[in-house]
Amino acid sequence: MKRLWACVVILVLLITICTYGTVETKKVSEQMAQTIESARQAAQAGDLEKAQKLSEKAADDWHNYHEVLCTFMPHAQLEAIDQTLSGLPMLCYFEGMDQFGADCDRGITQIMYLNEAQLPTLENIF
Amino acid sequence: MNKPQQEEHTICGDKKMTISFIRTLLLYTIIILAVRLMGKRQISELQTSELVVTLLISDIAAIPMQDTGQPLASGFIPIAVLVMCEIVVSALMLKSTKFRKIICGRPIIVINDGKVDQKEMRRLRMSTEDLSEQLRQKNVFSFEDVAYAIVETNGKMSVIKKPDKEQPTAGMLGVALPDTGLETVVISDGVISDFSLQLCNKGREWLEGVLRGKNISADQIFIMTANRKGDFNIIKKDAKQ
Repeated sequence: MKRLWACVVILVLLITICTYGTVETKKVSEQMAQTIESARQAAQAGDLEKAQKLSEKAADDWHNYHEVLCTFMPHAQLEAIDQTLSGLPMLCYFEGMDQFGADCDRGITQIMYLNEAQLPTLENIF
Repeated sequence: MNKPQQEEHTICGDKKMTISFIRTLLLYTIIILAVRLMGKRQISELQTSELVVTLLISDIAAIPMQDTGQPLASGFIPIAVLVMCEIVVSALMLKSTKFRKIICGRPIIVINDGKVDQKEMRRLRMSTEDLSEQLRQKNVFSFEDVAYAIVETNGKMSVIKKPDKEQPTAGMLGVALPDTGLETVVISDGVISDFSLQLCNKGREWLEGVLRGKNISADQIFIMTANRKGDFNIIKKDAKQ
């Protein structure tokens, strides 16, 4: 009977951890995608200073989220996003706008992929 | 526009080794806890479901141990799920015979009343060599001696010999043997075990009396065994060289 109670505790813990992981990833990915999108729009509108600030903010935010996300996500996926976001402020500073736009899109895609990979959909399960 | 600051990154291979070291310790602890939680049956008699769980756990645990790029949770979560499933399945097997049959199958009689059941052997994909090997492991060296041979659900074979081939017991011969009860190790490497003393219905007073009688102290003893009847056997420690 004690083992069955241990089983119930494990089940509750697992549900909590898995739900937290999914919700946290969704929240982080939406916030990050929004910030990068704003940076891209600012760059398109010619406001490079704002674009640089937003891309710096995106890189800083990502570093903060990274600590939490790396406890339950494969590190290779997170590092790929890290590399994309780290280059954005520099691209903005040196006015490499084509490259900046392309890297913003890449960053958004990578972040959205991160979210999609966490969802318990049929595609992901099978 | 201010030039953004470049971040400093250091890559250190040694850190990965330390991570592997710590992760291995953590996973070792988790696996021991998992096996304890699944129960003692897991160690000695592996049923189908238990074998599957044991194989999977060992495989899953190896991934985050070797690949530091994988989060530790990728090892913990599947192990926890497997432990949970194993406990639930074993509880259900205890409650329902039908469920137990589905998961473990049923014992199969390969020698029935002295006759080898070839159909059942084919069903088990068991060769005659396998059968004689398993019989030999049970100290049976001729098919003639066997009345029944049953392949249990855990794959082990139970053998019942023909009555005329069985070794006679004391009861059959009408010999009365004294019941000495369980023999336990009451002193191991100089350490007295109160639990073992309890098992053979003895106390510290009895032990101290015996030691006094033999003019020896507990720390001079390597092994001392005793039984309920009060028989004991002492093996002293070797003299230090």
